[in-house]
Amino acid sequence: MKKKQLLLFLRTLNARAYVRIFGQMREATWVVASVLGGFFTMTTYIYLYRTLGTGSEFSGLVVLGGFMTPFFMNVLWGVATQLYWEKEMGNLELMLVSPAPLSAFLVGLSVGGAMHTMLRSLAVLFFGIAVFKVKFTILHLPLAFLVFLVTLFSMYGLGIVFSSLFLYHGRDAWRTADLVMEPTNVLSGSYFPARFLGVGLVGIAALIPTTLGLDALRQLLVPSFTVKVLDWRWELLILIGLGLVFAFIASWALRSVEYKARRDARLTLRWQ
Amino acid sequence: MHTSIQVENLTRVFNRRGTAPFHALRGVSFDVSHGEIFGLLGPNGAGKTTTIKIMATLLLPTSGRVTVAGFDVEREYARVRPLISLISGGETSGYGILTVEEQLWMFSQFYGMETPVARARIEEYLRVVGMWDSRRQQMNRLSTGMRQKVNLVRGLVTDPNVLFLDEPTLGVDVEASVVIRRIVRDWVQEKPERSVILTTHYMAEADELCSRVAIINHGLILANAAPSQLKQDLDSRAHYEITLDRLDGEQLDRITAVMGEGNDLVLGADKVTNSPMLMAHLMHESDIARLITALAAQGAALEYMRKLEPTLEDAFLKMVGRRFEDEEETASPVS
Repeated sequence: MKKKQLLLFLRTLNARAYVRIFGQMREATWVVASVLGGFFTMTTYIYLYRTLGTGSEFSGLVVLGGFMTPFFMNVLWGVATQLYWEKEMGNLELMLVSPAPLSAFLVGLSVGGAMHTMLRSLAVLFFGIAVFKVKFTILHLPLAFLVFLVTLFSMYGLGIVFSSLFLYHGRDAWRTADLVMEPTNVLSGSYFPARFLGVGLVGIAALIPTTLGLDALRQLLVPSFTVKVLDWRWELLILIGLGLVFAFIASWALRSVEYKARRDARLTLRWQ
Repeated sequence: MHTSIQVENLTRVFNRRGTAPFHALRGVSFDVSHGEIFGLLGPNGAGKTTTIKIMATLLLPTSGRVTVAGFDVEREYARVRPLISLISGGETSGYGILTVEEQLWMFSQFYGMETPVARARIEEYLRVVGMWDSRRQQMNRLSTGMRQKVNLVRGLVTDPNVLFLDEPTLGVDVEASVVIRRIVRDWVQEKPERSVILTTHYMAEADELCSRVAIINHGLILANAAPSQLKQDLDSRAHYEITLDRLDGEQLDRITAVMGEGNDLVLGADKVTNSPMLMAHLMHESDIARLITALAAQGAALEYMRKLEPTLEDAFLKMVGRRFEDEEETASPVS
C-alpha cells in the first residue's frame, strides 16, 4: 500500500471511529440504558445460579459473559447492519463517492465501536465485581488481554463480512440480524459454559468468535472453571485462524458486493 | 476549451423482479467543458439522477461510456473519486450528533486531507456561507437551509474538479438559494479546471447559472444548447406589451395594415387601469420603431411598454410536450 493510500485509510478510520467514540457519548441516556440493561441481565443469571446452588465460578463466568456480550451486539448492530443504515441515511453514497475504501469505514466503525463498547463492558464488569463480590485471578491477565484482543479481531472481522452481505440484501438481512441475535447469545454460551451445548452444537458455535473467546477467558480468569471446550491455547489459535479467514473474506466480499451493488443499483435505491 | 466530462451513447436498464425492464437512459450523449456549469433538466423520472449517479461512479452503465477528467467511470473509478463531489438536495447525510465543524472535518478525512488544511478550508467556506458562528451547533438542530449550506461546504472543502449538484436548492428558502447559487457561480470561476453538473426543477436557477443545458425526458436528450438559444428557438418573434392612453378597433385595423403580414396585434385592456393594452407579436425586433410611429400617427400616446422574453420554462414545456407527441407518432428513440 502506498503511503498516500495508507494515510487515506488511517484518516478515514480515525474519522469514522471518532463518530462512534465521541459522538455517541453525547447520547448519555443511551449509554446509561445499555449499561443498566447488561447489568440486570447479568444479575438475573447470577441469582439463578445461586438459587440452583452452583459453584461460585458460575458467577464469574456470567460476569465475563456480561462483559463480552455487548461487543457481539455491537458487531451485529453497529458493524454488520451499519452499511444498510448508512444507505438509508444517505451517507453510503458519499462514502462511496469519496476515494476512501469501504474497508476503512468498517474498520473505523469497528475500532470506534469496540472502544465505545469497552466503556460499557468495563462498567458491567465493575458492577459485577463490586456488587456480587466475584473474584478473578490476575495471574494470566496479559494472556487474557491477548485472547480478548484476538477475539475482538475475529468478531469484528465477522461483522465486516456480514456488513457486505447486509449491504446487498438490505432489509432482509437486517431482519435476519434481529432473528439471529438471541440464538447467537445462546450458542456462544454468554451466560453458561458452552460445553453444555454438546459436541455437535459447540462445533457450529465455534464459528462465532465469542464462543471460544469467552471459554478461553474463563479458563484464564476464573480459577475453578473446568468445563472448558478446548484448552485455551488451541482456542487462541482457532480464533487467530478465524480472524484471518474473516478478514480475507471481508476484503473480497466488500469489493465484490460494491461492484454488484453498483451494477444492480443497490447503493442508490433506498428502502429495499 | 478542454473537456471535463464526456458522455457517449449512455444507456441504463433497471431490471426489476416481476416487472418489465425499465430503460432509464436510452443513448444519452453530451460533454461538459472546463469552467462550465452544465444543466440537466427534465421532469421526474426523466433520467437526470441516473445520469449523475453514473458520472459519480455510484452506478454502472448498461452500455456506453462516460469519462470524467479523462478517466473511465466504470474501470477507473478509483481515479475519478478524488476529483469529484456530490451534493444532493434534501440531503440528510452525516450524523446529527456531530457539530457542523466535526461533520465537515469527518468528510474531509474521507478524502485524506490533512487536518490543518481541512480546518482552514472549513473556516473559509463556513464564513462564505455565513455559518461560522454556527460551527459548534449540532447537525440535528439545523434548519433545512442551514443544512444544505453545510452540504455545499462539505462538497467544496475537498477542492474537487467536478461538482455534481443534484437539486441543490430543493426545499431551501430564497435567501439560502441565492447564497448557494452565488457560491457555485463564483467557485467554478476560481480555477480553470473546475466544472459543475446541475440538475434542477427550477428553470430560473438553470437559466441564471448554466452556460448550457440539456433537456432530458424518458432517458433521451431532447435538446442541448445555451439557455438563450433554447429560448430563441422557441419563438423568433419579438413580443411587446404596450399600454396606451387611447386606441379603438378602427385605429388598430389601420395600424395592422401599416405593419403588414406576420405582425400580430391584439387589443385588450389593462386589468388595473382599464387603459387600452396592445399585445404586439412582431416578426423582427426592429419593427417596434414602425409600430410606435404608427401609434403616434393615430394619436395614441404610450403610457407603458415592456418587452416580453420567453423563459427557459416556456422552452422546456414546449420541448417536452412536442417530444412526447413525436414519440407517440414515431415510437422510436431520438437522441
